[in-house]
Parts: sequence; structure tokens; C-alpha cells
Amino acid sequence: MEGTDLIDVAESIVDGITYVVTMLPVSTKRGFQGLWGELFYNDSHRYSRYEDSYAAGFNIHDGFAKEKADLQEIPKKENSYRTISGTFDLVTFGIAAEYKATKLFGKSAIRSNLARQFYEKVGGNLKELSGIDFNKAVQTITLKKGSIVQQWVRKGGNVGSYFTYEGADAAKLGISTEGRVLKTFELTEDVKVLQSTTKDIAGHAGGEIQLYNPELKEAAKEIIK
Amino acid sequence: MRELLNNVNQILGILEDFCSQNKDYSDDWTINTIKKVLVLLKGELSKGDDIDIRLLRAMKDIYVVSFRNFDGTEIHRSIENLDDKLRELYGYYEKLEPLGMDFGKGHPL
Repeated sequence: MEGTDLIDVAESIVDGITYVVTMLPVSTKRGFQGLWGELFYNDSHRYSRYEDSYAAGFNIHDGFAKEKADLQEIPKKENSYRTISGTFDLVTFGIAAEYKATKLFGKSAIRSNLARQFYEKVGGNLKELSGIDFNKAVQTITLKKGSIVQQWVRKGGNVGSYFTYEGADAAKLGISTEGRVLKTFELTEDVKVLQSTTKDIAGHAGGEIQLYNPELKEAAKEIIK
Repeated sequence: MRELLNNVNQILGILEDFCSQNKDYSDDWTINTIKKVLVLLKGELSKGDDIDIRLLRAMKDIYVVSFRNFDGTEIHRSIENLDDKLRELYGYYEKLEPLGMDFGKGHPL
């Protein structure tokens, strides 16, 4: 995460690569559990949650939903698992699911769903989702031990739950730097976070990367320069 | 409506106290934005008018401003409380989008 030389790559390409890389070993070891859901986003806890199939409109017994209304009709089945036998199935299934989910919901709805699931999982306030720009990529990532993150901390205040990378433009974070000081932290352990982009708010442009997990501050050791 | 008005007045009081104790914020955009929206909201509530949809959307903006800038303070807690009340009173409020870059470019905001 230290490097910030970014290039524009279609999100579907990144998703596809992530999908293949993460799901191949999983399918080899214990079968391909569950369906599309958020598995592109490298969250292993979701592989076994059949509810995720509804996020993509797919159920192994009923196939893809043809339209949104069908989603209400797909019965929940506890054993919605299958084993993918080969790479071809894996890739074609992944592409089809990605395509169908995008057609049904649009990217922003899928991102919103991913963010909501993450906030629910970590006990976050769902109302804070209104600060995320769902027209930009949203993903769960693991910040490795030793990663550097920053936060504008209010003088005399506590460290909050939203961090960013070094060099972020404070003006695009939706905060005022008045009465705040920029602090730099090194992570003492791996932490899974939701990485998203700040939304335009109250006439102030967003567009900067934010990293969220209420537990992130527990693993963030301040670097005194 | 009376309860909402009381909430708005309470938050405006909290903002005044905060600014008097934190001079750095006396001319800060975050505080000024929150005040601007709340004063307009107070005006509509005082007249007994329906709340303009843009004003409700602006409440979404200041909710984000409050949790980003005043998390853990009385300011955020009181705005959170007002936001909850608006959700109870106006079923469509939850689905409204913040004004974002349209903030300040229309009427009343």
C-alpha cells in the first residue's frame, strides 16, 4: 500500500484476477463454497455465507435471477454450495456472475452492499455510509503489519476510525484541518479495512481514499517524527 | 415539530459553546456549514412549514460533516439525535442523497 503510483484498470479486470487467484486454492482444498456475493473482494468469511448469493441474484438451485423482482422469490437454502471442478468452470462462472450482478444492480449498488456488510460486521454506524462515493471503487483489503497510515486528529481528541494513506489531500477528506494535527501511524498487526473514496459533501469536493475499521486505531502505533 | 425545533435550538447552543471554548473553529467551514443549515431549518420549523427537500438533503451533508469532524463530541451526538428524529418523521429521508457539490447553489441552500 506504500506505493501510490496508480494506473487506471477496469474494476472488472481487477475483480477477475482477484477472483481467480483467491478462489483457485479455495476450490482445490474444500470446494467452491457459495456463490458470487463479495468473494471478489477477498473476504474469506463470506465464502460460506449463502446469503451472499442474493447479492448477486444467484442461487445454485435456481440459477440467476432474471430481474430484481425474482430475488424475493428465490428461497433461501442452507446448502447452496457446489464444487467447481476446473479452472474453466471457475472463470466462466465468475465472469457470468460478475456480469449478471452488474446488470441487475449496477456497480454502485454492489459496492454499497459490500460496504454495508463490512460496517455491519465491524459494528460500524450504517449512517456513515453516506460519506462514501459509491461511484468509485469500494473494496475490503488487508493492511499488512508495518503499513503506514495517517489521520488528522483533533487537538486534545481521540484517534478516530477513518484513516488515509500518506500524502492524501486533506481538502478532499471532508474535514477541516483547523484545530487538527496530522499524525502518522505504523500498524503493529494486519488489519482488514474497507477502502473507499470520500464523497462530495456540503460544497466540498471529496475524492480521497479513506480506510475504515473501528479496530484499526488499536493496531496503529503513532510515529513521532 | 416542537421537538425538532427544540433539538435544533439545543444544537445551536452546543455549537456556540464549542466555538467559545475552541477559538480555532470560530470561522471554520465545518461549524459555519452546520450553523447555516440549522438556522434555515429552525426558520422553517418556526413557521410551521413543511421542510424543503433541499434542506433535508443538506441535513445529510451536515451529518457527514459532523461524524467526520466531531466524532465523539456533543456536536455529533446531538446531530445524530436530530438525524434519528428526521428518519422517524420522514420516511423518505433515509433515501435522500446529500447535496454534495450542489450545496449552496439553489434555494434555500
